[in-house]
Amino acid sequence: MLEAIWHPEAYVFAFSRDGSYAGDETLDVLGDEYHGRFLTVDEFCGWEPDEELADSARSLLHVRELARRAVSEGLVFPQLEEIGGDWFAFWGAMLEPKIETTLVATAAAAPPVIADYFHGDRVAVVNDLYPRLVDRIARDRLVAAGVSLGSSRTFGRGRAVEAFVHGLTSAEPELPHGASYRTLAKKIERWVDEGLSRIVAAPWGLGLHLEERAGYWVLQLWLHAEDDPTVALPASLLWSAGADAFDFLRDTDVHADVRRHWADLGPRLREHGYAFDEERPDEVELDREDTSYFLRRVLPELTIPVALPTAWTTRPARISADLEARATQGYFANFDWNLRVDDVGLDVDELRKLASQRHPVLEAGGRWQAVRREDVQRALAFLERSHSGSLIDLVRAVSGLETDDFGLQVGRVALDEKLSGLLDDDAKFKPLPTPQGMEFDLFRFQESGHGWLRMLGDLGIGMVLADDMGLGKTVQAIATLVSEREQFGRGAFGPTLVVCPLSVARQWVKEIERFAPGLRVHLHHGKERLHAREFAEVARASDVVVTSYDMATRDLDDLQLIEWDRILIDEAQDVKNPQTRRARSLRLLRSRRRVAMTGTPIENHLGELWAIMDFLNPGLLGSREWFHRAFAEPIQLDDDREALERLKGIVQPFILRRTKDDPQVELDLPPITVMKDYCRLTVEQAALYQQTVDLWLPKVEAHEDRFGRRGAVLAMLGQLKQVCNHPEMLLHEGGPLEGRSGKLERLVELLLMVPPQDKSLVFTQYVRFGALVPYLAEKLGKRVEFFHGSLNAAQREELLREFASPEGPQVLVVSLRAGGRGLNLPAANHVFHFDRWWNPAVEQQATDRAHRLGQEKPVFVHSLITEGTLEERIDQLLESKRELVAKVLAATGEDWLGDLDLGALREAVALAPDAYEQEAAA
Amino acid sequence: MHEWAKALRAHFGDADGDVPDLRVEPGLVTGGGATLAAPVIPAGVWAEVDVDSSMLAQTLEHTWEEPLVPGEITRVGSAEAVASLGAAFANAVERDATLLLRFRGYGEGDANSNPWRGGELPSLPEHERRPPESVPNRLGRSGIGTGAGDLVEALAGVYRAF
Repeated sequence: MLEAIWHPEAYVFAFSRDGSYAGDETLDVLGDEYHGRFLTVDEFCGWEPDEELADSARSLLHVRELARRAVSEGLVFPQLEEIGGDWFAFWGAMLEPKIETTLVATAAAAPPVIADYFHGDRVAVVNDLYPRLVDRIARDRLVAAGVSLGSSRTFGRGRAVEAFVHGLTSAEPELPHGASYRTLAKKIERWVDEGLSRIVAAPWGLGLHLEERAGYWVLQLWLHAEDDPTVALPASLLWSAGADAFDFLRDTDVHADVRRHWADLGPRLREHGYAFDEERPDEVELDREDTSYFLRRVLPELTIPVALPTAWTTRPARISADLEARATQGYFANFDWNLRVDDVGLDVDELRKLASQRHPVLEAGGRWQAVRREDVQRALAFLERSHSGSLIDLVRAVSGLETDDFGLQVGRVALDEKLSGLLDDDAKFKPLPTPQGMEFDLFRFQESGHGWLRMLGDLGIGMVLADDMGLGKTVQAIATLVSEREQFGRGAFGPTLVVCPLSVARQWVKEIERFAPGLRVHLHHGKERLHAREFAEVARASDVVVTSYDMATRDLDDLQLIEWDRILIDEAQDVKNPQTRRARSLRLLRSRRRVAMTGTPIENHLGELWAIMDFLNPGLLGSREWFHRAFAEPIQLDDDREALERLKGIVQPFILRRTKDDPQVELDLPPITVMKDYCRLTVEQAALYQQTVDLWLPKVEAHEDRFGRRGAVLAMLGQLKQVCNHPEMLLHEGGPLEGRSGKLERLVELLLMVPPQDKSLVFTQYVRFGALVPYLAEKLGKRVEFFHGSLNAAQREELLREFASPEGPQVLVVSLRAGGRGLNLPAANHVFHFDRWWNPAVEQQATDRAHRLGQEKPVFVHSLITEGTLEERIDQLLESKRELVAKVLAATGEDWLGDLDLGALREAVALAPDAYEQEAAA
Repeated sequence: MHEWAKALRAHFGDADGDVPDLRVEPGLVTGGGATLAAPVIPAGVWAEVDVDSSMLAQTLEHTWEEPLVPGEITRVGSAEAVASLGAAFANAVERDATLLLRFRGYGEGDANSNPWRGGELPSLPEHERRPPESVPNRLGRSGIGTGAGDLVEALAGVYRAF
């Protein structure tokens, strides 16, 4: 005989007293030791033993059967519980009186042995076992049915509730870390407690449901709770099964309610010829003609709830908008919109008629289709809009953005030849030759860029020149300024304002002076810079005014005096955050057109693309919030390919991007070799690393809110990176530098291998590296200089000039923030990334300082990585993200590290046992 | 009144205790459509105490931490039925105090009782013909938004899969 008892550690022990049931586990039962099997709840749910069952096993299986029955009846409720610091989504067991009575009676009938581990309390056994079975059975059924809700991600809006519903429909109840569940748990508990503890006392009313069956329709009588018409049951249930199901939901006399309401509704339906049963009205069949009559004549008169076929309402007909667009004067377009559902056109009159109906229904495509009233109303509003616009409006229309705003879907699109040409990819690349007034021969691909800048520029459209670093974006922009003046005359244009990082402002001036000496350029910078009227006079007399982002923000009043012909923002990622004062200031400047130049239109997230595009062509990508919902979230979080393709389609006419690898770019740049150089921690570094982890991890864990936690994570990672660089960068003790950092020693070794005639760049993100510069110089016996943010413009210029000359410093240490972008440093052909920025785009930009036009030698790039530390692990993570980066979509900034969940974070910062030099330890 | 009966009444108030089908078993009292349940006192404890002692209740509570009248009693049934059953049980204990001992498991560990043997299992309740989303309907709107509308709307479809 097969016995089974329930153990408080959540397993069933199955055994036989005579040892006939084989099993490897043993348990003491009533003082004797038995061999048998431990069954988890999961295993017990599917347990179908062949052996003859003893009373104990029969009792537990009886509880299981009761649980199965209860789940089939849906007697479960959602539960969010914290256990030991972790959160779980459970299906709670609803203890209806009949269930509870059966449970207690089962406990009473069970043999005492089942409670051997529950102090003899058999009720406690079933009370412990039953809810576990209910949760497991409910979960298994949902998984088997393929039901899945929510998302397991723990970031983004509504993350806790999405993770919770995902947990309810997942095989296991444990929820991912990272979301804040506590508030949600309280809300759910209150909602369930209130809902289950009482039955609302409210009467039932009547409603009609139209159902579509194979070739005919059925009109059914339903009962709707008067306090909440969404609570509804068919009248047929009352006649066939009695009032129980109704009494479960509302505390009222359901029969009396039906009698009262039917006395009013019944005769009205009979007048229209619907022959419901008088005593037990439930349903009548309708043919096509009856249905049409019901929808057109009866439905508008009814004031009771009416439900149309589910297929109509869950998939209401979408109103399509067909577009015919024709070019008009100056590349503006006329838009002709025609609305329809399937093959049925909808003019304004038809839409108004539909809008007046409570349940708008029309016959289209050979069947009845419901249309949402709000869709009809929005369609009417859409038709009232302007029917002409610019290229930006055309792109929004063709891509469906215009129609999206009104709940419509874009249908057939017909463009005339001229407009088709504008949206055609190839149209971008009609080259324009180097203008005569330029002292530089454009490459062929630069001539294409020049043509593209002119074409969109002449239309007043904003655009992004996003060529790779080193492909000469500046000369293409200068060519545009020159050629448009050659074509239309100098007086035809006001000045162009170039806004760029301080580090490249003088470079801009020099390149204009060198390549286009005919352009009048003015640098707005320094203590002696002009203001007010003086500035305005000089600016108006110039073709180009160059200033830095800081100056543009500070001297906004001066810059606002000018109606700029064009604003050109170089290294446009500096305006990627539209909330910053810098970005807001730039938006206040008046200009006829705008151009952005950047090698990386997206560094961190798609929001940056929105910010740049919205600066250039306000409204193209809708509001920031809308863009986030429609594109950023689906693409970045859900990898939504369709949204990605759609976004590409929208922005593509406004972005020109060529990479160094493009076949059309025949640069003949020398080859580049990228290497990873691994180094090891010293014992001191390893100890300091571990101390830092031990100090910060508990602080990270203690933060419940995402932002506080993220701050702690980034602080910890920053310190760990500095430990990997050199202990002195964290300790500041002024001690000797030699022999304390495996990475610094490795850098010295690598720099010593650089041929004497070559120059090197060393990139770091820590200004404290400055303390290591004299040590490097001494070890190398070479001149080493440091380019960092504290140098003023003149000092920077002097340092860059020196470095460019063969006699100048051979190694330039560059702070990534100060010089990672915009600088022209082809004098160096060896690049060292001393610490990792963990953003491939930033590192690539830094590398491109050397691998660019003007570089004549092969370029060698070294990334230094400390083995067994977070540097190595994050590097592996980055490798896995490189594919996305290549698509210029979701290149990752450092902030993403702050969102790692605790498990991943612990793993990332854990110090590998062999991470440091054992010899040194010995 | 017997002090044990008094302690029981404290649980159930002064309802009318007319329950003709009252039945007392170890850990269970049933009758009148209601059930009372409490864990039994382990047989090992009963073996150590003198059930005839006037100090039985005190000994159980203070020495063995097993109060004779349990602090918590599981109740099944409507409030009225439970109150009636409780009062009827208190009346019965008033008349025959050994019923409380039986409820608490005295005699279970006797050589005559077999801990491996159980009684007849109750039949499972009849299947209710209730629409699958009755519980979400009863719960009503939660005010908790999900990607698929209010939480109750998101879960209604789930209930149909049960």
